[in-house]
Amino acid sequence: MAQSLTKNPGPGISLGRSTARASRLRTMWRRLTRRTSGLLGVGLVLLFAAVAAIGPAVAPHSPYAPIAQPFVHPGAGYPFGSDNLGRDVLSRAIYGTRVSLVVGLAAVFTSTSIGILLGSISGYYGGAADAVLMRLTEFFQVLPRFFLALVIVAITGPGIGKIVFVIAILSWPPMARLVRGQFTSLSRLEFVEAARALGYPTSRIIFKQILPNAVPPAVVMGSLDVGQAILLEAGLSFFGLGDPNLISWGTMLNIAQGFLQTAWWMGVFPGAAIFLVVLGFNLFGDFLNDLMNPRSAR
Amino acid sequence: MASSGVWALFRHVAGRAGQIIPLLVGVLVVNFLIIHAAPGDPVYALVGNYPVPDSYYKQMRHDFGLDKPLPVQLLIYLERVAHGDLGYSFAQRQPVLDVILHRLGPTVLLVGTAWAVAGVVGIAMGIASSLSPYSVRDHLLTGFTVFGYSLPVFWLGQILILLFAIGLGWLPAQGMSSPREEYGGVRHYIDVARHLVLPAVALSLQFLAINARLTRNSMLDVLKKEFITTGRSKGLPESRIIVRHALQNALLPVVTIMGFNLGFLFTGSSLVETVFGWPGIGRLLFDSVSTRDYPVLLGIFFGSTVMVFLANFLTDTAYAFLDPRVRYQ
Repeated sequence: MAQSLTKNPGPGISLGRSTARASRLRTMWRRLTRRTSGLLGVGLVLLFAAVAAIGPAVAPHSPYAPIAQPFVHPGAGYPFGSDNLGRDVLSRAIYGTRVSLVVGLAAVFTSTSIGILLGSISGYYGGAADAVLMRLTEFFQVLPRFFLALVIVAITGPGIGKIVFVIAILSWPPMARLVRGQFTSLSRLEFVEAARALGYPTSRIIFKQILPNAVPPAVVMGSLDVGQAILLEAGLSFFGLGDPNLISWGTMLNIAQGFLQTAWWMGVFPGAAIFLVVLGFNLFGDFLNDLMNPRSAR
Repeated sequence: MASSGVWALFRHVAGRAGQIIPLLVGVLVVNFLIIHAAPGDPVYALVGNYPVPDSYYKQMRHDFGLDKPLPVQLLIYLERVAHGDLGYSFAQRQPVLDVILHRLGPTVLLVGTAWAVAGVVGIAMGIASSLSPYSVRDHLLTGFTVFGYSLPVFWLGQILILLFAIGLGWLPAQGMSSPREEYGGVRHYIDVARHLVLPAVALSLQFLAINARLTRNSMLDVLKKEFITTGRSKGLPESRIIVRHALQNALLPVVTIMGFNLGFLFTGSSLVETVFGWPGIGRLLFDSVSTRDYPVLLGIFFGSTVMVFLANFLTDTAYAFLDPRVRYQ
């Protein structure tokens, strides 16, 4: 769904009002803004990836130990201030980057693999396998994701591996449907017929002939899914279900909720980090969509 | 002719309704699996983190047939739910169903308001954008959509509290009514409405952006159609073309998405209610997580899926009613 919402539609009609010259200027303006927002997305993703990679080395303080008085205002020495226990909010936010990115990427990698596997079986073989798998997909798609994730983590206990698993298990259906759609339309085309006529083994037709064509839209959707997975993890942590041994932005917001009156900075900075990294992946996804699918960008 | 149309509509609706039952059973199977995936004894998940006397423990094992094979246990569980028994909350000392129903009103008020605001404002913004595509206004809408889609709703709530409740002091930050005032009549409603503003804005923003974007794209699609050109060449006034011809067709997909989004609004509502101390299902969910009140958690999950299925069913029905092509498929 995310894909269709943020994607620009094809060239709109000009309602018979604008001249060709004006519409050419508009097209150039659009290309420019698309590129700027795309570059912004790439920049944000790279920035957070760098922070996640070298974060612990550049963090000014320990994220776990009290290093200042509680509730120090943001300023010199502590750019993001200190929290209720006198810990450095900046260092905690830096450490939190790793959790968000790891959860987001690992969950999407897993859900994409499940989606591609089930979607290609469904789309290639059709028939009974398709019917069963698609009923399963629809079922998973209508379940309220956040509530189910919450109930599972609350009852079976927290942990980063479990959070990744739960998000992945709840995120694959749109991917499966996308890949299935690609397979059903592609497997009717001549080059696949030709491969069948040549007696290629099924695995080769699936992996070498059809799948590579289904990859571009899957990559776009996957990139948009990373943002949603990060939001889901943040929501779980905000409910107090984050991994107790790790620092997560959602957990920081959970703690900040109790101190909104006294220390606005405890929540504003980690929340802004969630927003920016999700925004980065969303813009990045749109950018990839334009690159891989030039027709929609023209 | 008309009666066959009614019959087709009825058949369509009945068919959709029939699909809900296997879905509900599926959800209950998921619940059942979670209970059994819990570490330790399933009774732990059925009772929650609550010290129970030994006799009660034995009673639970017997009632849920926990010494019987799994399929039998599943049947027992399904039968209990079919009789309206969602379990008992020890933390609240009430049956789960009563606990949930008691909290339903505030959530429906919040979700309904946010849904309506997102619908009315979003569609209006979408129409405005579609009438001048690729203008500055239109680009602002695109930016706004991506923003709305990336904002964590609970952070947005906190920011609104910081700005409008703590900073400017315009609106209350917590709860559904002022605890120290005993308002009656109209003043009570005004009080609730003031408490409703910030959570409703926080909850609606993302969906408002979605609706606006969708309306815009759908309008642009319809405005390309031949019947619009025909209308223009007939010399119909532009306002009539926009309202009668374009909008009526363009709103169909928007209505569908709005219906399906009701489920997501319930999810988002749980986070917003937690931020604003709104006394609904979401706040109950948060409290039940903290108190490890598992029967209530499972009950809320089941209840929310029922709501989602109902919302989807009503959307389908509304769609079949609005678009005759659907029922004859």
